[in-house]
Amino acid sequence: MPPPVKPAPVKPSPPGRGDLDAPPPLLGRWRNLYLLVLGTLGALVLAFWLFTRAYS
Amino acid sequence: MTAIDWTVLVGTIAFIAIYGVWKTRHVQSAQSYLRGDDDLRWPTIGLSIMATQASAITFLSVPGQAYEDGMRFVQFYFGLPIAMVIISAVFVPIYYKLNVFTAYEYLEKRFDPKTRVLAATLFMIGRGLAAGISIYAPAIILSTLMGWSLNLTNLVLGTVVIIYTVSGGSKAVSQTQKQQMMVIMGGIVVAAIVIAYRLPDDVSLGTATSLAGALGRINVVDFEFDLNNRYNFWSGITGGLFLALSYFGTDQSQVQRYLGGRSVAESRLGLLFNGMLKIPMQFLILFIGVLVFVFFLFERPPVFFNQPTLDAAKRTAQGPAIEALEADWQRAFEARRDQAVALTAALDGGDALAEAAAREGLQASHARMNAIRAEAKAVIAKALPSAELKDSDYIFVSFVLKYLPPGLVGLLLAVILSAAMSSTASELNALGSTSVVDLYKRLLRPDADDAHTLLASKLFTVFWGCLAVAFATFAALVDNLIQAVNILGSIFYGVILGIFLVAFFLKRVRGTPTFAAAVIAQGTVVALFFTSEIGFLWFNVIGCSLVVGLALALQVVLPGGGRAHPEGESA
Repeated sequence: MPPPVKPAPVKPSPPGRGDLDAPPPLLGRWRNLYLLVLGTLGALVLAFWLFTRAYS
Repeated sequence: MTAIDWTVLVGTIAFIAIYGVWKTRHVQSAQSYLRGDDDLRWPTIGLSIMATQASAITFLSVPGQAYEDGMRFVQFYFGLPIAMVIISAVFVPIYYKLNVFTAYEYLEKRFDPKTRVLAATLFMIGRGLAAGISIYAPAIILSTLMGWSLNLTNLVLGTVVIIYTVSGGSKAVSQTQKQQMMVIMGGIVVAAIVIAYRLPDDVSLGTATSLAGALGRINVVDFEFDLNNRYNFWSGITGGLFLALSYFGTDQSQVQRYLGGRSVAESRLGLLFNGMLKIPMQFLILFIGVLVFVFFLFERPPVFFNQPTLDAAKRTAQGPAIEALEADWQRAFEARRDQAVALTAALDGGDALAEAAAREGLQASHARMNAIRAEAKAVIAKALPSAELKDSDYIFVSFVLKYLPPGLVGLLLAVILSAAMSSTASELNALGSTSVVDLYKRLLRPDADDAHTLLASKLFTVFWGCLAVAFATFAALVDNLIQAVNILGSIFYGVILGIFLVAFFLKRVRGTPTFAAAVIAQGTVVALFFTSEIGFLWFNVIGCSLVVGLALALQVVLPGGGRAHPEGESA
């Protein structure tokens, strides 16, 4: 039996990086985190509008 | 400046630069230089993204804009959180999947080499000029006010940035930006507290806001649709969205910040961190400008904030005219101060009639001061025809130098220089990377080994750094520095974004139609810039829409354009 031949190193291809579908560390799903960011934007615009009305 | 200020300033800047060099002393591969070691966590990515965008111009121009024009500039950022969500959901997974070093690499996989090279070239033109302004902006103002040599300031600032950027590449940029952002955020908070403390004893923060509101400075949100109005809700949420999408999603100086993340999740969290914090941060910087405005209701401001220019004008034949205007200015200021005191008392006492009368008086006396200021600028223009009359960029730093205690002056100058260095470093790093990855290695030396690529990356970074310093040295002061950078960005960003949107979302459109559409759209935007009065934020929408529309049309007219690589097709 011939000795096992060590396979030549294969260049990794295509080298994608990491888990593309990993969940976020909070709120369970990315969609929820996106809604949090957009909700914060809405809240800020509302707060700024009230601020403008109160002081202009 | 006192010795304490110099110690704080030089100590802060030197510490950050030395830290950057030391922390990244083991960077010895092109991969490590161009993208770090793919090990960045989201706080570093988020701070790095914010530091890249927050240039010195942010701290020189923005408070001055609030002083002159109120807080409406914050609306410019309303599209940013939406852009962060879109980039996190669509752009980041594709960049990670294709394992690219630059955003433009993706365009070759999706279209063809010429589209990649076109986008990379448009980026380098716009960003190369902006890098010069990033150095020039703080240098011209600080050298004017402090009596420093402009060329020496440009040179020192540029050299420090080049040293640590070339030393550690992308990793050095991210690591130093974390420190710089901490200095910046700390400086902003301290400045806000100190300015509020410097207001008269009977002027609370609420009263100060009312005084500013009476003179039109609390104009944060405006829902009226007007194409010629640069800053309202609609231009911010549409033009601002397009600009932010293009800047954060396709500008290599930003893409490089999150490509070095440990995972898709870390990159997304860094972007969303920016989406949550950017608007409150800009609001606070604008509010600092408003507080400076209120401070000068009780303390006489100069009739022209660029003091050296004012002094030079006084030494000409127009000197007596300026001195006469300064006497008028003093009287008008005293009248306005009396009205501000009356309005403060009326607000405290809850007397509605007295409040209305004092408000009217305050507005009239403020209008009188504005008229004298305009007259003074006209006389300065007569005395010194080449003088820059826009002095709003000098307002905040003049206040810092004259009214902040020793130590804090050094800290605030460190904030301004840290911001200049952080954005310039990202720009040089990205310009060097794009030059090597998208042009040099792609077109000239495709067989270059790792050591050669690393050396070329460093040399190109030095080249762009020297070019930026040279541009900064020979540039003339433009209208308003932050607007100059944004206008420059808007001319190119819309077209670049259009190319990427076609790539991501219009799978059937090929390379040649997209390339032709981009060339036509860029020509149209440049022509509109020179011939129309359209607000600059709309160039993003126009450029992007033109590319998308023309690419769709040309795809039908031009049969068999470029190829569409299967890897790049999915969005």
